[in-house]
Amino acid sequence: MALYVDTPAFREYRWVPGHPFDPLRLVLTRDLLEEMGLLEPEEVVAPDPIDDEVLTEYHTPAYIEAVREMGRTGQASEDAERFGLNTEDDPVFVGMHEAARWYVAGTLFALRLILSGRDDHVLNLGGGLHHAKRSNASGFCIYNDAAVAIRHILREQPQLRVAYIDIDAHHADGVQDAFYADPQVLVISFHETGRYLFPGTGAVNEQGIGAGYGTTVNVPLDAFTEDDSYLLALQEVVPPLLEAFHPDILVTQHGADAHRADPLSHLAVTTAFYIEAAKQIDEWAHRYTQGRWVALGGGGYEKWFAVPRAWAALWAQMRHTPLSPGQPLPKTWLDRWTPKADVEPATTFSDTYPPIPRRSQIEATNEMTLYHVLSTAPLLRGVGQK
Amino acid sequence: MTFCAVLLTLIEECKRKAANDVVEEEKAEIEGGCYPAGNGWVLLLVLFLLFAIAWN
Repeated sequence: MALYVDTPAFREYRWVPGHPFDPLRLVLTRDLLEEMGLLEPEEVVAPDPIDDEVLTEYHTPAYIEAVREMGRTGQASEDAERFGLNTEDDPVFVGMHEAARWYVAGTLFALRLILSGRDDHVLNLGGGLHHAKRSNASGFCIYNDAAVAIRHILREQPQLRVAYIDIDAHHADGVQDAFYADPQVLVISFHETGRYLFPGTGAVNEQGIGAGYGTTVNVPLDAFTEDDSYLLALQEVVPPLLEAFHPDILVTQHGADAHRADPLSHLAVTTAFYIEAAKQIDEWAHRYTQGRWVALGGGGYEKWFAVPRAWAALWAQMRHTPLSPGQPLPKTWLDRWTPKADVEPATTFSDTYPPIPRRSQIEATNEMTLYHVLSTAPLLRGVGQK
Repeated sequence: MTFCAVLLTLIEECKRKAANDVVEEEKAEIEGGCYPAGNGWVLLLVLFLLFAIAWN
């Protein structure tokens, strides 16, 4: 059985009205799963709370204190910008410290569930805040749940090897920074090339440093990449790296902002991609980490139909009741949410779009990138292998 | 050194924003069904030529 980490506290991560990062995504996804009969009460678990000490696994005490203080008053301090706060992306809101800490608690709880052997697949859609840095907020992310939680379990079990795979449209810069010199954490990020998109990092030649050389792998995809080209990238890059790295546990980040309907990125995948990607990752978890798999949420700004469908597909795969693209969305769910939505509604788990005009050119660019990634990856040349 | 690093970061950011604008425009054209850019002008030109031929 797979477990779904959730708590009402996850809904409190609310920036300001109109901000693209909206926890309503979590409500919509859970409601969709319940309407489809894919989420039973015994599959849902609430995380244990954590104290601030845990956050220092990655974040500086000064930053945590600043977030706590600004979150208490709801007022930006004079040095807020130094901590990446009081910006357009990351404004200050009341309760921000506690709200962000719950997401970290969720990811740590998920990892603990797996390591205790209670279950092998655990999903925390509140997690995946991969841009947060050691001493500043960035890209809608306050605390880096994956970085904190992975570091925490590595402190408890230093022999573990963790593979982190990120399919958010944006580069996993915060997670990369956290483990850039760490040989025990393999960070693989697929993202839209930083030539166009925030945060601008994630080039192929960012491969780690010192003892961590080779355990950072970046696959920057061209704008308007579609399903087949993205799936090819996943299939070509991930298995040989996992084969070489021998991870004990798989942590994956499932930002759903590579969807064609997403307003903040330029990738162009459909919901069918998310169904297939979840299937692939599930298979890799069983092949390389004895099924030990923590999946996290992440970005996703077409919150009404793109994100709930992508995340429902992920959860369905995790509990081994996969969806098919033609499957219709429940009428009750559509009736409840379509009147509130400000986009064209979807009615099934597939999408129909006109073809991307430069498809062959984009696919060729991505194939060149794959060649570059695979031919220069130190892990595939024996560096850092177990 | 710090000044140079800040300057380089700013230049990189400007380059990325400019590239982002171009790709945003392409996205709007694709989703708007008027790709590639300039289709509208080409159509107008063709119509004008047809009109000129018919007039003569």
